[in-house]
Amino acid sequence: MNDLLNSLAYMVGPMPMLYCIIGVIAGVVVGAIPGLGGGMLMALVLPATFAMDNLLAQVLLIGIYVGGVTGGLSSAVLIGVPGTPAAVMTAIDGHALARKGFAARALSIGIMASLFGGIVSWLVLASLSAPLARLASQLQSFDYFVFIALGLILIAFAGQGSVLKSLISGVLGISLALVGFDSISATNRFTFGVPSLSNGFDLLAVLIGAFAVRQMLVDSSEDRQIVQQASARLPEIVHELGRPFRYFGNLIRSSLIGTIIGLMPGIGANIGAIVAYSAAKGLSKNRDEFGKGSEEALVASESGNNATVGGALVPMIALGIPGSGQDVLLMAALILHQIQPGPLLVSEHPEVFYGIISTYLVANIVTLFVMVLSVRYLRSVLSVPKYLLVPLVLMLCTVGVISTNNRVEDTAIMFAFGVLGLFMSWFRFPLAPFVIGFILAPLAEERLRTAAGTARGNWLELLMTPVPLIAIALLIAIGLISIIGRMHFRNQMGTRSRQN
Amino acid sequence: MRGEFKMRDIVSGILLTAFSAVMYWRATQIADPGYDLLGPGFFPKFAVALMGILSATLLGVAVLKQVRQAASAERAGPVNWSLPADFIRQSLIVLLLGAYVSILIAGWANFELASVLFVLSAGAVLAPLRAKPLIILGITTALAVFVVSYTFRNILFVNLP
Repeated sequence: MNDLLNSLAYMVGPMPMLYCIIGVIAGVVVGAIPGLGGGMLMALVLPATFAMDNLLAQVLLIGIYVGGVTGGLSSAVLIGVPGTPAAVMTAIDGHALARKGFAARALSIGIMASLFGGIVSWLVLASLSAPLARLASQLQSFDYFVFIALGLILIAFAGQGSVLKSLISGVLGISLALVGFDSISATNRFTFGVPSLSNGFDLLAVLIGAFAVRQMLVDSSEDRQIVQQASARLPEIVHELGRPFRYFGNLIRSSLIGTIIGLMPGIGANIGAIVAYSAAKGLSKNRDEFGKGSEEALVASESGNNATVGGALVPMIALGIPGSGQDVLLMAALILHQIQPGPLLVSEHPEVFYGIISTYLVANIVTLFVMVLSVRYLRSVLSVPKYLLVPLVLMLCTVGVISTNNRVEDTAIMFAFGVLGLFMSWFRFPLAPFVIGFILAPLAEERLRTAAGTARGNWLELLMTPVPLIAIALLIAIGLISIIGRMHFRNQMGTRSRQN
Repeated sequence: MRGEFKMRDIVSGILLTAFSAVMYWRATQIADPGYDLLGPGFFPKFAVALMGILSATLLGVAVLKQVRQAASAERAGPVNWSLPADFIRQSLIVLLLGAYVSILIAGWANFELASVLFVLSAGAVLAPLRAKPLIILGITTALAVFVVSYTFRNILFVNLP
């Protein structure tokens, strides 16, 4: 406890605070630019941290990390394009709310829900990190596979429209993720004899194509302005900051969901947002509003995605297992300074261990102020006409893809997935399951193959363990609730149409 | 409107079923060196077979609904095959983006020239045909391309074409 308090006292000093503010501002700005995101900036800054004090380097990187996740909120709400995959669900309801003329409210809800999610996950990080990390580390390979499958099925049931189309979308994402070289068997799969396909599809190019390019292509066909003119000013944003507390239960639940999901290695902020969103939708009395500008949805999505950051830090600092891509960069910064993250970190470098925990809290609070003060400037994006915004965003997407690997060929992947996203939009296939499937497929396959090898093909042995059994029970319950809910909805609609 | 939705499901069902069939055929040809129990072909086969089953179901359901609708004479009217201006504009942006990416990959022009041409032409497709927006587009394009190019080349040290 003393170490934590000392660390917090250090964090409010001028230098750490300066680094934190710089990191958060940079993260918020870059996170708001579709396709760029905090991860890219962290990677670019990483070499520069070598010359810094090890703790200050962590402060800067965590500032970018937290700022980047929350920064995605601005573009999600203002232009309907998630700056980061974590803001996928935010883009749906936040942008719908902005289109109704409540941009300030949507931003305020997102900002405050993000802070709340961050604080809840910080409490878990600070007080329960060791036991929770132990629990997560006890999961077997097949348990991970079950979690991934469960996540995909959940999103299919929770998504808008047809469950069948959501499932197809998810499986299509899985299939395309399998293109390329299989490292276990040293075999090419689905490459059709094209050598460049051996590398598979670069994740960032796919995400930028599927989200940003697709969104711009869809918007280019529409006569209306991409965004609603904002009438809100700073006092209005500040005034609305208390609004998320009307949904206090939702805030707590979504933050806890995000934190727990963050604890699972490889399952990132986007899944946290999606599962929190699904849970909020399932338990809401106004579930019909979800997808059309629901405040509850926004609260769930933003608190859920931000809370995953704190959750993901737990296995990183306690076990040396990165919970997300950004955690890998944090670990790399530690290793650059000859510090090995893992169980010995707390005893050998307590200042770093508690410094990371304290930074996370301070970065969340700094993000609140940065977001509130910067939103009025980020809002200027709203007045940009479509004929400027669409080509410029497409150019930024292109340069963002090139800058990731310094490989211009990746822009072809971005273009192909942008066009695929456009086709999916024409044929009314939801995008989220596709991207989730694409992200999780390699991990799911690896876990399944490891589990099958461990159990020597005895599937019954794998299934008869607590996690799969609970997951199957959960799936049956979700399926039944979904079917009953849809039948109830149809009956109500039928009754209403008869009454009219 | 309903008829249009079913037509979309039928078209997407056919495309996806065909895609699944091709992918499954490719998946059966994945060589298995026997390094692990499931092998490299198991998961791909499972995924594309599942996609095929789901796509065929989508197709079947859509066809069934279409047949029922036709039988009960609830036709929503003929499908509108005319190309609206929005669709043409969208297609033009897709073509321009494709050309932009191709030029960059082939190295026919450097990033600055290709970007100026792309932003100007895509902006011109979307802009109202009046002098003021076109002047704003020209100035913004030049400024934006310069700022992006300078930032990525000289500050972030990205190797732009």
